[in-house]
Amino acid sequence: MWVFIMAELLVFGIFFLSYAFSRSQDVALFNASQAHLSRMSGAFNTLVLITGSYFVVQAVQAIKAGRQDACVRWLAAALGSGAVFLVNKSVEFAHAFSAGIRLSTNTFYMFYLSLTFFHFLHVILGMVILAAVLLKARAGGYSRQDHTGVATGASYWHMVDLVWIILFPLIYVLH
Amino acid sequence: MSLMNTATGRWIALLLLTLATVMFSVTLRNPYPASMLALAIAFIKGRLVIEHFMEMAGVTDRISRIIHRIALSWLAGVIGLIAVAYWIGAHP
Repeated sequence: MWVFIMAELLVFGIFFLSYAFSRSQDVALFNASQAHLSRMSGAFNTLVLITGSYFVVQAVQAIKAGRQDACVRWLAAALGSGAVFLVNKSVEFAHAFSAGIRLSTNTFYMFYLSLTFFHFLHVILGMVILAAVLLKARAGGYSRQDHTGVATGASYWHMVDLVWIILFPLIYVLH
Repeated sequence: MSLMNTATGRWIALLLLTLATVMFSVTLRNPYPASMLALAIAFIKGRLVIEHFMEMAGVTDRISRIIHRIALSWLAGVIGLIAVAYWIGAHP
């Protein structure tokens, strides 16, 4: 899993640097386009993802303590936070599309749509992984001694959170 | 154990740092220092996630220590290069 996570971080890193150095070529266009984004929506999604990561930490601590029921509840809460993120991001995408924003609108929006949608897909994959871990945990598949699966799923979810921690200021805040 | 040493304390710290990022970006008039501040905060948040949520702090086995170093190097490298790109943009 760690090889997969490192590969993902590398891809996102290249994306981030492409955005930052493209911006340095046309600062005025990027700043003008960024002003149309909802910073509050981005901040809200950051709070939601961080909270989801906190729930996953609690799930890992619960299974390490042998509390399977608590682990399942925390994982369900993390899935809920992922769902809130997806709904809020979908609303943001809908607003952007209704305003006529497309990949071809300008360079900023090309990066905004592709970066955030790429991350959106990773949130979905993270939720699929957490759901698989939750189902196995509910069936009694993890214990105090054997909880590697929970820790591995948690690491992927934290990676999704870590990427957003950079993506949020980069796309919504820095100008 | 104090609150700030627990997962709950670190979660609260991450929430407050996120709110600080937004607040600084709104209140600071000069965008360049505000951007550097936001990047510094992103580094602190990322380090909190890597070391405490991913449980990389204090790992002792060789593979985990290598992963820890790679993750921190990725974070510092990406944020450092973003800062360079913004410096170029601010000093054409």
